[in-house]
Amino acid sequence: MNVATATERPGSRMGFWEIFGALVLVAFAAVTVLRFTRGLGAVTNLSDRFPWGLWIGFDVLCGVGLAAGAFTLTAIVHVFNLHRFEPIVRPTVLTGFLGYLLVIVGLLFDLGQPWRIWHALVFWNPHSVMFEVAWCVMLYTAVLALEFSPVVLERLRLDRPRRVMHAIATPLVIGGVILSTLHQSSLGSLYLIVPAKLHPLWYTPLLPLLFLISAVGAGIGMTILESHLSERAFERRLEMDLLEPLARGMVVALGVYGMLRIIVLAQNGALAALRQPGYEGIMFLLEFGVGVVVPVGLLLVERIRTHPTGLTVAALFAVAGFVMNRLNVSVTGMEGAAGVRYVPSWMELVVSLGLVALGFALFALAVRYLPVFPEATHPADR
Amino acid sequence: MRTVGLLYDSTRCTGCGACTAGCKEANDLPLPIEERTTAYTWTVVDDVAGAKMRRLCMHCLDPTCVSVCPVGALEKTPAGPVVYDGTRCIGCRYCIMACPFGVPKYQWDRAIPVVGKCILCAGRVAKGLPTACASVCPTGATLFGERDALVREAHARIAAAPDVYVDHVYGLTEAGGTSVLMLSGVPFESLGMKTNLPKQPLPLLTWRVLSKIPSFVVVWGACLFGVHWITKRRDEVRAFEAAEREKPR
Amino acid sequence: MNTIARRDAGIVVLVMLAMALGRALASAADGKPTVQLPADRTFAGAEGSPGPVVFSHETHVAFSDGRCVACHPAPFRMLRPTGGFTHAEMDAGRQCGICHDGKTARSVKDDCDHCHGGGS
Repeated sequence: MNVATATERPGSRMGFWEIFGALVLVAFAAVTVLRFTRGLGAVTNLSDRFPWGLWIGFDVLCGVGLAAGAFTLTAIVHVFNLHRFEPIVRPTVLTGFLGYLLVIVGLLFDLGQPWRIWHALVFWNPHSVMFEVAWCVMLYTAVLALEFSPVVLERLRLDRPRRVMHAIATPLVIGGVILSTLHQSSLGSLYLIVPAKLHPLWYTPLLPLLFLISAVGAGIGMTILESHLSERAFERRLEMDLLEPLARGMVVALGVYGMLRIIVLAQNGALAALRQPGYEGIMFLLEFGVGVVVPVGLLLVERIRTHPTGLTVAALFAVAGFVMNRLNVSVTGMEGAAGVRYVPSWMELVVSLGLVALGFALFALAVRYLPVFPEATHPADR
Repeated sequence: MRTVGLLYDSTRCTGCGACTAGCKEANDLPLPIEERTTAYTWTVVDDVAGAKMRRLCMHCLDPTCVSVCPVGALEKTPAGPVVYDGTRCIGCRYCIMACPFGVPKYQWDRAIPVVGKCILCAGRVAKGLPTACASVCPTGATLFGERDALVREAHARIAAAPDVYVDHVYGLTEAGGTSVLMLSGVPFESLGMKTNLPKQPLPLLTWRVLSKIPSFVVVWGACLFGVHWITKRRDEVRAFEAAEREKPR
Repeated sequence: MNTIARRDAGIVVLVMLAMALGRALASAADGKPTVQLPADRTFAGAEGSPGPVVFSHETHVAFSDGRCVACHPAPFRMLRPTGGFTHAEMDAGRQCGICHDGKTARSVKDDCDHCHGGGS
């Protein structure tokens, strides 16, 4: 793409999705007021029997997992020194950074007293998985901010600080990978404490490992999807030569993940129970089919894997399956023991959708004003 | 220091609700008295086909809620009660999600909410008084005392009247043991008490993972740096060899 | 709290503790719950009172189907003795007057002897 296109103010049209997004954000503002003046009960379908719902299951568990592309890509480039993937690092880190910021905003909605979110900084309980997640997310969001800062510094022509960032890139990325490995798996560890509550189709001592591997797969899926959406919104070309090998990585991640799941279920007897699947069984089969079988099946076919549409569809399935898995762990798998079915209220949906809409809007803003994509950088700025 | 607890004998309970009322009074909780435990009603008595069962915090010996709270708002005191500090709580509700007995409840109706649960009248206990529920129980169905003595009493009652009691002291080993013990004349499951709980305290399940973090960070960091160093070296060598090949001979 | 009230409170607590122990031992024999209600309370009465009033749980528990929550913890406390009973309050439909209004139970204005003559 030439520089002229990049200066044509990408993403500023008012199509259907833009209007839908704006409407969602208006409703989002209204729900925000209700949430903080009337409390959680007035806005959510949460209850003592079901204290965690969509905002944890989707905003936090999926939000953090889908932002995993940042640590995977930065590791590929800076740890494995595969520098040919450099061009997609910036948009992926942006996705990650925005993702984590939105997770934090989502948390501000879910926490009963969100103005106390800083409490974990001074009140410590190292025995709590949530304490560890809180610290890792805080530190990693800072790492993401630093990893993204060269983009801003380049725009502001602050050359010295940008060079400093470049110099510390390797230790920063390694720190980011360590922090990500810790908290991506810890999101799964959160559920280790409820063996009598979480359904055997999802409960396993291997939950932390499964959450980590699925995050790697989903992160790559999101990178592919983000490239596809950027191609459509900002009239860019899809970097197939980079995305195709990434997709292979996703196949490996999903394949290992799928095999581990089957082994776990065979060992704890839940696999046998699938012969007569109840509600949970059907939800599992859907999640596994959509999230593992279909994307792996599609991507093993070279013609699909090397075709932009095929790649995107497979990534869509992988990401959808990932979301289904996390919602199954946090909602479906917990409903049996809770004795109630949980369905999010429309206001909970508005908040979650609103955060997604904000993410798209902020991404488009960033692309418009910052050198996120390589061709957007004027030669004079380099 | 002695560890106190309660012994609730379902066969001696008439469901009068004195415990519910006394608890409300002792903890200054707002009316009305609800039928289930909530953030405002910390104990109730359920009736299941004539048999009674109290609902209250079990004050586990190694409480799950204490281990999961990210800011340490819940604490197992040496005297026995598991207490809650509403000034630390951020409202993450992990305690509510994790408690195997489904005890903690939330103030869903408030803009500034906190968790509510039985605190075994920690203030009264510290002054040497029994819990409010034990004080007001007109039949002695709820007994307050040192846990060890209550365990002995529970076993003695079962031995003295084996046809009256189910041969199990609930709370002896459930989730690693609790300070609140229960006796019943009918199977505990029929009264809604969970019988599928592990004998090991649940906090061990996450501590097994968390305790390995420091060593993991060191090892993983070394691996990542190692891969970076080796691959960088490989690239440098390749670049050097390529440059060598291009030099005019 | 003044010393007399504190002493009363202390006595009530001690009595309850003793009762708890007693109940526990007494309930052993036949396995059926032995209900031991709190002891009767005597209110000496202010100046001009026709006589002390004795409040007995026995008679009142029957009227509430054994449901303590009918009266407790509000308006009548359990752990500390509720005080300050006056006819002014009862006539206004508070305290004993909640039930003793002539409709739910006999009115406090009816027969002075019933309460003040050692009955109730």
